[in-house]
Amino acid sequence: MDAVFIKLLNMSIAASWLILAVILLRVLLWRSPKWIRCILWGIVAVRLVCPISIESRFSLIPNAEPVDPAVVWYSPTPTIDSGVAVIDQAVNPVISESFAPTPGASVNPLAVWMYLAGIVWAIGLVVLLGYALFSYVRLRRNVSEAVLLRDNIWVGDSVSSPFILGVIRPRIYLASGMEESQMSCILAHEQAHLKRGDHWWKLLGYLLLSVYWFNPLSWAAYALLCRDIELACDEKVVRSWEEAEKKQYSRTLVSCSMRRKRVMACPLAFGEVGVKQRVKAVLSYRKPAFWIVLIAIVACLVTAVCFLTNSPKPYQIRVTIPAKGTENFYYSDEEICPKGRTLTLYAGEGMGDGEVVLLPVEWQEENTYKPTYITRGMPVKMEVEKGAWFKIGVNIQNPSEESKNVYITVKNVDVRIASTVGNEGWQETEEGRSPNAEMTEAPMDSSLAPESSEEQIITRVLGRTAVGWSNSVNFEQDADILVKMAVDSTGEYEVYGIISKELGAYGLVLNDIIDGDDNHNYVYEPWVYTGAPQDEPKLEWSEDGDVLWFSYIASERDGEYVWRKCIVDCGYETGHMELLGKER
Amino acid sequence: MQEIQLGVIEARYADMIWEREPVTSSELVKLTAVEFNWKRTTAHNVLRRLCDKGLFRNDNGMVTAVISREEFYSLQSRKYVEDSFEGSLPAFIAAFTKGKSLTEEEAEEIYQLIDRAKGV
Repeated sequence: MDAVFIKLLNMSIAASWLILAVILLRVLLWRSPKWIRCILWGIVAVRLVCPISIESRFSLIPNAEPVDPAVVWYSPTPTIDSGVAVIDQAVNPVISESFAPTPGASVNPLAVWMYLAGIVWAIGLVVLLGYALFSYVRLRRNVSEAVLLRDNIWVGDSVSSPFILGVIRPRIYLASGMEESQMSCILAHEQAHLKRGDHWWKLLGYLLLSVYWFNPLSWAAYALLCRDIELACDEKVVRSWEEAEKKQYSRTLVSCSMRRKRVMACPLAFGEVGVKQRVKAVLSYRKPAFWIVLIAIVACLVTAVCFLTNSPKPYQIRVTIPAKGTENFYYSDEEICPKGRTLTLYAGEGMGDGEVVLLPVEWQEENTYKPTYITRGMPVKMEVEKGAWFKIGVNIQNPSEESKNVYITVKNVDVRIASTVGNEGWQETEEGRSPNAEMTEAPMDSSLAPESSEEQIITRVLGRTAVGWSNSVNFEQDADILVKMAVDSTGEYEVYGIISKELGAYGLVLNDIIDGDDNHNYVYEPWVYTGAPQDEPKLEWSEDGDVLWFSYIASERDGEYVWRKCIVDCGYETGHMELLGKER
Repeated sequence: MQEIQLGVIEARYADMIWEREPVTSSELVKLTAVEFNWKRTTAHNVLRRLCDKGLFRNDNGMVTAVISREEFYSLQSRKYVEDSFEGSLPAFIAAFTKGKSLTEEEAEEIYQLIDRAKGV
């Protein structure tokens, strides 16, 4: 129940912007024909009826979902996001305070209020629909003594002012003591209503009013719609009439309004509305110039595009936290590129409290992004370098057995999957916190994302300049390291070791140099780096020169290094290489 | 005898009865079905009202006149008055309409507006 109500609440708020625009346009387009106004209200109806909407850059709706159900239900600091900063700043502190949950409460008070509001809404809907039905039945009974004149025109004693009743087979009801001169005017008007299908539009309008009754703008829209329908109908009637006929028509309008003793209090019938304004409109009616109509139609189209579409939705950037992850920060696979100079990050699905940071993909001098506290309902706004690519990092611990996904929501960005060609890797700077590089251990995590990301990691590190085995590598500072483990006596074959910040010493690259070109072959296996000369890996040919052996420290067990010696399959000069088998 | 008001259609119905009386009520039902497009119940309801007003009498389906047509009209002023049917007006509906019918002054003002209106 409250989910439905929240959806309607959001649709109503989005439509409110449109209603305000239409009210404004009615004034601006006052010289255009009145049926243009009915078209504008038709656009409002579309907005209120359609639960889905397409996204467009031209949308003037600030935010089509200001009330987020998840925020209502879960957030410790409930807020709405109207999309307009001024409104948010004014409203959100009040909302957060009034609806702040007491610690230990099992459910957000706002969620409870929303549920109650949903019930009240449903009651209101039933009341309004019931009223329409009830008054329709009562009116039908009251005109049961009416007499058929001709076609669908009935005459009754109890009819004080003419009206139309019924939607499927609408009938025109006239007063029984009417003069002939008046009857033709009135019939012209009522029949014009029927030709325009106004009985359907009014019904639709009332149905929408019943659903969206909680929004005061709905009532304004309905009242203005009724008024505009009458004005448009008058225009249709007197469009080709002479002055004398128009005067007679106006007099008829007046006398009908006089005789009316009680108002037609039935939404499914309609009688005379706003007589003075209508008389003025009829008397002053001129056929509108072509270009006025054209401008008005263009205005309608622009309104439709701007208000029937939504602002582009935010992206959900996923960060995967591996099982039993103990790193400080984990980074997204996807990279974002802000289109503006500021970037707002929201805690998304699965994200509790934590810190978020931006990791520039290409290292540049000025980029020091401090980790910032983020939680649901409290977005983080950062000044960013427009056009630069970043990964999003979060520091969430995951002591569970399975890897977990959390999401950070961003808007107004381009997104791509991390590409690693030519990347230099990332350097830590003083202020920013960095993920600690895992050292000479076995791979941190075997449940990391699929092999493709390992491949990306290896490729990335491969882009660096290699260091020799005996270089003293300072692991505190350098995260990605490419180690040249061994080369054979011919110089044709090389083995590199990959040390990456994500995986530590994991990954080997077998390189076959043919005609001066590198041919890389990846091996997804862990290894151990010690830097000690006695631990240096070797690429050695067998005595008969047929078999190439590679020896290295594969792992550490019980404080002892475990060496591995395996054959390197060199694949007949194709550049393909493989490690085969085990020995020792 | 106090003034009895008859609506236009009621008057037509009464005339129809005076023309044919004495007449059975079922006969009237058939007649009004053709003339007025009335349902059976409507014919009976209006007949009952006319009887209550003292114009006719219905004895077991036979309808006779209590007072003759000439007598009746001589006692009435010829004024067609519409009954407005009942219905209280919820406050919110007032927003959609002008709210009340026009007063004499308002109507006069608008009539003058119309008369003064010039041509194109």
